[in-house]
Amino acid sequence: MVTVKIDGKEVQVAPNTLILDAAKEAGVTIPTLCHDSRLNPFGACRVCLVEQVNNPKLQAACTTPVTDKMEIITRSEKLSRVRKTAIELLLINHPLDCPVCDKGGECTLQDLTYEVGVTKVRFDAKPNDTPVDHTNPFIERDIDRCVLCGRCVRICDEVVNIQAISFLNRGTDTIIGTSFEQPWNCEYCGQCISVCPVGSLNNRIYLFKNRPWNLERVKSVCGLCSCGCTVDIDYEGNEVFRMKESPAEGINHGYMCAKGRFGFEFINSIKRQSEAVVKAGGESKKVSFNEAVEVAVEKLRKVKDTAGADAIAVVVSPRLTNEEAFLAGKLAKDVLGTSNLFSTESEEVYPEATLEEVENSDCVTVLNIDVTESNPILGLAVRHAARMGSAPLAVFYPGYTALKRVAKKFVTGNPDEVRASMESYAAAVAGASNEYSEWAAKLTKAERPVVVFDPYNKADVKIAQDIKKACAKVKVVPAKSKNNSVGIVDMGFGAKCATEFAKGLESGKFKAVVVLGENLSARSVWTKSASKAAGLELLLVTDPFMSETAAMSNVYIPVATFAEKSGSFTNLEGRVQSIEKAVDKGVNTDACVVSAIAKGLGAQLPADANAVRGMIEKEVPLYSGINWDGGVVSYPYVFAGEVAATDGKAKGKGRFFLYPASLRLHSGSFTRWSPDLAKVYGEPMLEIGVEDAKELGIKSKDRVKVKGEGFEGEFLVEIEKKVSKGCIALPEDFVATAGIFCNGKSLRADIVK
Amino acid sequence: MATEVKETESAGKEIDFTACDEICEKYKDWKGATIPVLQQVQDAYGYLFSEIVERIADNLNMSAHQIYGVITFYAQFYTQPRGKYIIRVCRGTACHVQGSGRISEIVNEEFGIRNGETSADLKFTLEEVSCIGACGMAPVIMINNKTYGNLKPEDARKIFREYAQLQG
Repeated sequence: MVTVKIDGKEVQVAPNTLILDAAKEAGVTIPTLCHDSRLNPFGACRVCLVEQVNNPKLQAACTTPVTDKMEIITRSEKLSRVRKTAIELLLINHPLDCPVCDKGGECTLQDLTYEVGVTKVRFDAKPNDTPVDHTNPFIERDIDRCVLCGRCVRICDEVVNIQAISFLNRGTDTIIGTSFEQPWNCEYCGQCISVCPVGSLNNRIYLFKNRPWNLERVKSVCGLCSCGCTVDIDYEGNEVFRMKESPAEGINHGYMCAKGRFGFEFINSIKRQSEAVVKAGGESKKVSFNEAVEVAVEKLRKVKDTAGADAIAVVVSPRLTNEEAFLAGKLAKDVLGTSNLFSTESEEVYPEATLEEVENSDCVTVLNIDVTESNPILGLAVRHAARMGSAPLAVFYPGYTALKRVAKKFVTGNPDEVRASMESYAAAVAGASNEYSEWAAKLTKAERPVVVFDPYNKADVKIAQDIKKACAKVKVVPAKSKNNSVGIVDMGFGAKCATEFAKGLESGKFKAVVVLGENLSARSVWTKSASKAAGLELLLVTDPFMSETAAMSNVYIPVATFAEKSGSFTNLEGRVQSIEKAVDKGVNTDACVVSAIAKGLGAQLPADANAVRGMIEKEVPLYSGINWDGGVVSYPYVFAGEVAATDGKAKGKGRFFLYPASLRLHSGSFTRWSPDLAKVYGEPMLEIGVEDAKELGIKSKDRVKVKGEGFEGEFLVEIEKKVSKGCIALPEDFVATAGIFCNGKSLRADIVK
Repeated sequence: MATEVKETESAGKEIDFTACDEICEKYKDWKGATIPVLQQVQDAYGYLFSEIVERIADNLNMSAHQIYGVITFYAQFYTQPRGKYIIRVCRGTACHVQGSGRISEIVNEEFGIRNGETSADLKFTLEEVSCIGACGMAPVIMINNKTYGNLKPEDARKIFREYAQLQG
């Protein structure tokens, strides 16, 4: 430890601590502009200059490490002058268009100008007048406002590892831009927007919609994937205006993805339903919430009396909160007396490693999943380990993913080849000598190895289990898909196999089905049987939108999204986090629906999240005494038992291997109602490699027919450099493609022009 | 000096990436190899155009944008085709007072190019440089590696015309 004196206050800090951090320790704030504690020190703006006693040269606090007995002065006449000049110089070219700048009110440059007291511009240089760049669908780039702090370039490089933008030219001509002034194309994660201290990079979804001082804010958890990112929901009245990072907070460290940052628009969608619908005798009627519940209750009672409780099934979506799923379970088991609880999730695999453990791992293997798209923040953790911690990263995937840039080994090929490689790799971890022995040794020798895999692909689960068995210190990350995929299983919706529900529908066993938030038609496991649900005595569907399944229902009740309710989600680490209600769209929550139905059936179930939590703590052993704000559930096991060996080989015949594509901004459920995401990726697109496309003579945006055993469909073509030869890929979770992947995760197909 | 200049913006024309790939292969796992790779690829292809930069990026597992940042930082890299003959007109103080501005004008009169531009037939490129270090011969120009000093405007024109007569 070294002792330093900052503005007369003595503090002890570790050697090599930056002056800035030592000052923080001493309770002294030094103004900064280009600094971000999550990034490497840079020292571009000179705003944080401080005086060191007995040193005539001013030091940049954000890049200079302390030495023993160092004495620092952060406020002085001289420093005020220097800082003021630094800001004045930045303002020469910076247009003073604050009244119409989206950043106004939360702009670091504005705040600093105010703080140092620049009231006049002494220089007569004209501000530049470069056209604003709108080539990126989500990010507006106004190069004139840029102060070249480099935070965007650095975060895109150091954290995201995409390097979609760079410093171009030199000296006074330096700008932030793209190679050969190409359109700005990237993952659209918007990390650059989150760090821009001025209005140079703006969120186009929020642009000119509101001013920050009008907005109210709640801290909540993103409801769009299983990472469980802490986010701020900014709203005015009952409209959500933006979802943004909660700086440096949460397991996501203030990082977000395109889905989280730009995909919230569905909450405000005018396509959302506000009235319940009851169908009788072929006629739809808009009814009140109470009337709809009454009809549902009556039908449930009738089915229970005539066909027995076993003819009733309850299906929940992994988007519900823990509290709602728990209530749904109570309704099914205690009130209706049925054990038919279904969801797409299963309790075969439980979470193990935390995101922090992934970040700090010293050897990461990613099995057959594109985590950068499916779980972007987990993807960032993997990149962090590989880039910052220089953990050797091995990736197995049919095509190249964004991890290519940081992976030490990337195994591609057609899905069968990749599967064979993964099997060899698992065998090598278990001791076999083959071409992967060297890589397996890296894993077995590592102290904190991590394996990420797709828990929805049985063949992959088997491989992950084999690796875990051979090397017990490996921690696995089952990359679950939805915000509460883990939680609903904990609440009892993972015990029964999802296929059992499909069978029950087919056989006519179920007469009344309650579907809370799920869209049966878009889930590959149910899509084929979904139409059978249309003729049931009761098909009660709750959904914020009139989904395909909701359209088939005879009782439909519109419900709230995650921004309109309180409760909790359990993320892919098994971490329980609370969500806060931000807005009210005048619809009920799923909890209210369940509670009202229970009441109609003569039982009492509370709808209030806090009351339900009390019940959960008592009745769900895993959650007894859990901290609802970030507590991690300790699961009894990782893999439920020996996973049966499955034939992972591609099924069917055809020239091409067809596999589920990485998500590409969103799946086809909620976020398809977000117009700006849908503009970029609206319908499922067929990805094909450059060579194959050339051979077949097809171009981007062509429509081609894909045909395989038991399926056929027409899709827009997208030519992708990363797709391997002989392979094509389609996203899985769209209604149009769910019917394809119900045949298997790896298929053969032909393209018919 | 680069002699072979490849067509690029001509859409549809196949670019032969062999030389580029070979150079990249040599430096594949080196750290800090970007600049030597760029130098050698530029030598082989004349200048660095977008397709070749993409190719280098793919080969070196880097981002093209980052590489472009390097290219635009250094004066030694070119993103536009360059002429067979590079005319460097010294615009340093000594040459300036000796009227080197007029020599640049003559280049423009003869070939229609200004500073940094290349003639349409890819024969001449004009580069105004700060100082060649031969102030005693002011005004001075260089054409590729040959130096011409104490120039009168009409001498310079004569020299340019001689080069223009040369084959290829």
